[in-house]
Amino acid sequence: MFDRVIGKSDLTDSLDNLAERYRVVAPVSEGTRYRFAEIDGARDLDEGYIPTALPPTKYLRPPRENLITFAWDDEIQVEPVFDQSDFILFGVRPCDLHAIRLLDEIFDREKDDGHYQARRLGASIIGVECLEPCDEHCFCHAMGTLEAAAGFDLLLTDAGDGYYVRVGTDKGRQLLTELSGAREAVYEDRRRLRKIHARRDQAFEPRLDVEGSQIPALLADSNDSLLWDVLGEKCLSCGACTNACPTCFCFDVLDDLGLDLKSGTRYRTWDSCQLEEFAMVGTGESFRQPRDMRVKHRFNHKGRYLVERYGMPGCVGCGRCGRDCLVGIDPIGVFNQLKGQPVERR
Amino acid sequence: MNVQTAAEFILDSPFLPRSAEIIRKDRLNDTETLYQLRLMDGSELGHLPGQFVELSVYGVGEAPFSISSSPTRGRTFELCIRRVGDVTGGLERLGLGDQVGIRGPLGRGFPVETMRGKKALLIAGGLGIVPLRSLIVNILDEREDFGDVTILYGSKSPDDLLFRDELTQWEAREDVDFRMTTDIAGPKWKGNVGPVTTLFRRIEVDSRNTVPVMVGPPVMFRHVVKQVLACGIPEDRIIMSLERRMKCGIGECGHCQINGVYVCQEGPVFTYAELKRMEEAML
Amino acid sequence: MYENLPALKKPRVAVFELASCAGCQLQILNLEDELVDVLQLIEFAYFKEAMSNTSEDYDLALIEGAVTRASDEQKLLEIREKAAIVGTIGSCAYPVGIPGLKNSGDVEAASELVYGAKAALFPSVPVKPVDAVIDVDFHVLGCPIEKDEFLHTLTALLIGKKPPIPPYSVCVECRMKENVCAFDRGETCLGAVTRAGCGALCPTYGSRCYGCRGPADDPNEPSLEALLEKRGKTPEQIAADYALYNGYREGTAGRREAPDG
Ligand SMILES: Cc1cc2nc3c(=O)[nH]c(=O)nc-3n(C[C@H](O)[C@H](O)[C@H](O)COP(=O)(O)OP(=O)(O)OC[C@H]3O[C@@H](n4cnc5c(N)ncnc54)[C@H](O)[C@@H]3O)c2cc1C
Ligand code: SF4
Ligand code: SF4
Ligand code: SF4
Ligand code: SF4
Ligand code: SF4
Ligand code: FES
Repeated sequence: MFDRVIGKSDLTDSLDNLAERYRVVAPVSEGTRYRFAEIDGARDLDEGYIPTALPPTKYLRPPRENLITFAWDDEIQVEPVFDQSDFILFGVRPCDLHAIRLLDEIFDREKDDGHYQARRLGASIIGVECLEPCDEHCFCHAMGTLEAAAGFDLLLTDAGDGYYVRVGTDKGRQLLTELSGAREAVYEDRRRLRKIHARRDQAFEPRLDVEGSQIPALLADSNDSLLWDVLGEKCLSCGACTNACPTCFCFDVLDDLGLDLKSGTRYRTWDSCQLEEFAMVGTGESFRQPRDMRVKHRFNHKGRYLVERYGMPGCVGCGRCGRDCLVGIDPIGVFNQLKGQPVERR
Repeated sequence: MNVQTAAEFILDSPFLPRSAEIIRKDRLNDTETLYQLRLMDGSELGHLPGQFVELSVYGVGEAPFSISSSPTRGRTFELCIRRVGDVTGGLERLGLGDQVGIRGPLGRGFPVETMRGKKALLIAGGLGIVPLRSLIVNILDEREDFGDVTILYGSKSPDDLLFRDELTQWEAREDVDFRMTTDIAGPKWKGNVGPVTTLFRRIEVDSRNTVPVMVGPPVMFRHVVKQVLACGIPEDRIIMSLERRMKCGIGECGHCQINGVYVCQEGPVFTYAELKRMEEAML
Repeated sequence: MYENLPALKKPRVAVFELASCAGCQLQILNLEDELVDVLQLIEFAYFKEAMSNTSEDYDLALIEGAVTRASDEQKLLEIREKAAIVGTIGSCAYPVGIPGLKNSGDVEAASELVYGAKAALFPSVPVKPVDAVIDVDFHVLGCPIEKDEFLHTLTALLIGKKPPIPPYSVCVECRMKENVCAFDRGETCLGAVTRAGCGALCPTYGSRCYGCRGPADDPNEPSLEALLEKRGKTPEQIAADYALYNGYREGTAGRREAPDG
């Protein structure tokens, strides 16, 4: 009943209006690479974008996020830091919407983490559906993340001359008032949307030789696969994959002390299980030192542990890690190889 | 937009420590110091033996430490800390009355309640005595609730033994079978020499009613588990506490993962049955 | 509160220069906004670029530059004797940086090139980083050093923490900045094996990493080298790439194969 249809130029005008009054972040292009950045108006936006270098989740869990401030004199004073500013996150793709759902599950519902909640509450998320695969690296279709189920306030689908607009939340319903020129969707619009979706489903040909739902079992069965040794030899431990991943959330916590030596900030910063120091303890012993174990852990964390724990995909098939890996470690190849040669054991 | 803005919500930070004051500081060894702390708001820590806290020396950082005192001992709590780096070194330079940050108690502790009425076999190697002391003192303070109590403690050398006054007391008690050993003998050492496993041969284990609890380095686990299993104790009754790299202590930061398990949350106390399935447990 | 937390109280700092461009010392002088605060925390006992008085009484020595002469080694040993803490600043001191280029060729020829007929008056030795001669407690890396990293090192030392030095590679910081990777621009890059901390300065400005901060803790060099070869680099080019800033490491490793080594 709340669905709308908005003409393309009306959407452009609405975005321009929004950008005048709010902080709007949206995908912009830089040569061959896209990223989410603050825009001044619709003209800054690049509609042909494929998954951005860093995922839009960087606005929900920034690479560096202050947690508390501290200062001492006679007493210690400690204050939490929350970034409670409102902003509009425009143009989030379905894979990333699924990633946001997972982060919500962990940081909001399970952990009640106020730092995440502050940013999440401040975000109004407008998703945009994908109608064809972005490039050879993505495999959202196989992971069941092409269909955006939640995680958005509004969801747009390109319907040729305009966008079909779906509402995900109360906040989204409020946002509708900002879409000037939008009209209520009617039967004919909904029929058209169904056709668009049918065509979309044809456009995404299967890339994985294994059903997404079978990946946890495949990984559990591949613990001794020789493939991990091969990947371990190649991996540069550069952390490109975990930095790029919308569902990676590991971090380090550090203190930054001011020059007065009496006050400072504690912050968290992205960390990666691909780095040697990640699991090191006391005597310098690392519990996951060999590179092949680190690579194996990443694939298992994404493809198995998170699924088992939260019942939703830990890898949303955005393809970023494979796109960025200099030595070609791509989940499509990894899953297919594991599927193809499960007998090769150490 | 008529939307509720984020600023209208009241939020909590899981990273906001409470302040605690250092009220006592005892040097136990070259590198280990026992700190007695009291929360500034006057409240009890409310921990279970086997749980840990995240301690902040502001400006230096935060690190996890086992609670070494028993919950039966009132409004203060104790941490026994080895100086190895930044936080532990900074803490050592603090004095009485200085305040540290405390988050916790965190993690899953020892199953004290299910141990009641049963025999306890408590085995510590090295710094493992620090968390185990919390359980030992708890059991001794409520001695009548438990069956036979056997304590085995192994350390590198006689000089490395911690809590020596208490060891003497435990040794003197009639209702406790306490034994220690050191890997290498010292000039005045008259006790057993060899790893903890050598003590094992001299005790009798009632496989039907004993709960073994062990805390120590991975090598100790590997050997002791074998012996305990050989006594016929089922895998899901063997209790062990692990150490891993930790940052957040609340299952967010990922550092402490063993396969899919967060040690800070599902542990640090596990049963052998739980750990056996995990390759990265390194047992 | 925390009266005794600081491990050092107003240390006397001496800044020494070996073979270098003095650019790192300049970075310290360029602190402008922070210099007043810094002078609350430390006292300069010796700093030739900045002041005339000299004192032999210091706690903390900062050494800029590479070891290129036998007399440098003597000087370093003396400094190590006097100072409780010794650190290096800049790539010349570690991993050895531009002065290390001398190692790629014949040392005597290099002397002649620089000093001509007077070469014999200036006995020159193969270039070494400072930590090849004395124990070093910390490195402030970079060519030149980064202001913020220098300040963080200073506050860490004062409060008694290990100076911050990332164990991982430049790629980690580069990806966080959403840079277009040099490899995607058809170029090559040493970022994957080079220690981070600079915020991936060079790739951020459209260039590539030359390895000025030395190797990361856990570099997978064989894999990067295979990649470089696949992207058309010859073994000579790869060696030259490494040698630009890591000439000591590369050169020493090469010399190890010599008969007397
Ligand atoms: C559940 C748990 C309980 C612990 N209980 C005690 C205890 O009762 N007494 C005690 O002395 N120590 C205990 N430790 C170990 C203690 O946390 C580390 O010694 C401490 O974090 C080192 O901090 P630092 O800043 O002094 O060292 P750093 O300067 O950070 O580093 C020194 C070394 O310690 C390692 N390290 C850093 N952070 C951690 C970490 N969070 N966990 C493990 N290793 C780390 C580093 O890899 C490095 O090699 C416990 C650890 C855990 C996980
Ligand atoms: S991006 Fe590739 S090379 Fe880099 S850490 Fe990930 S898997 Fe390894
Ligand atoms: S693992 Fe790779 S493909 Fe999967 S969500 Fe992360 S970046 Fe995307
Ligand atoms: S464990 Fe590794 S793969 Fe999993 S979220 Fe953390 S960094 Fe990403
Ligand atoms: S440009 Fe260099 S440092 Fe940056 S990601 Fe590429 S290889 Fe790594
Ligand atoms: S990118 Fe490489 S060469 Fe440039 S400053 Fe950083 S470490 Fe040095
Ligand atoms: S310590 Fe952060 S997840 Fe366990």
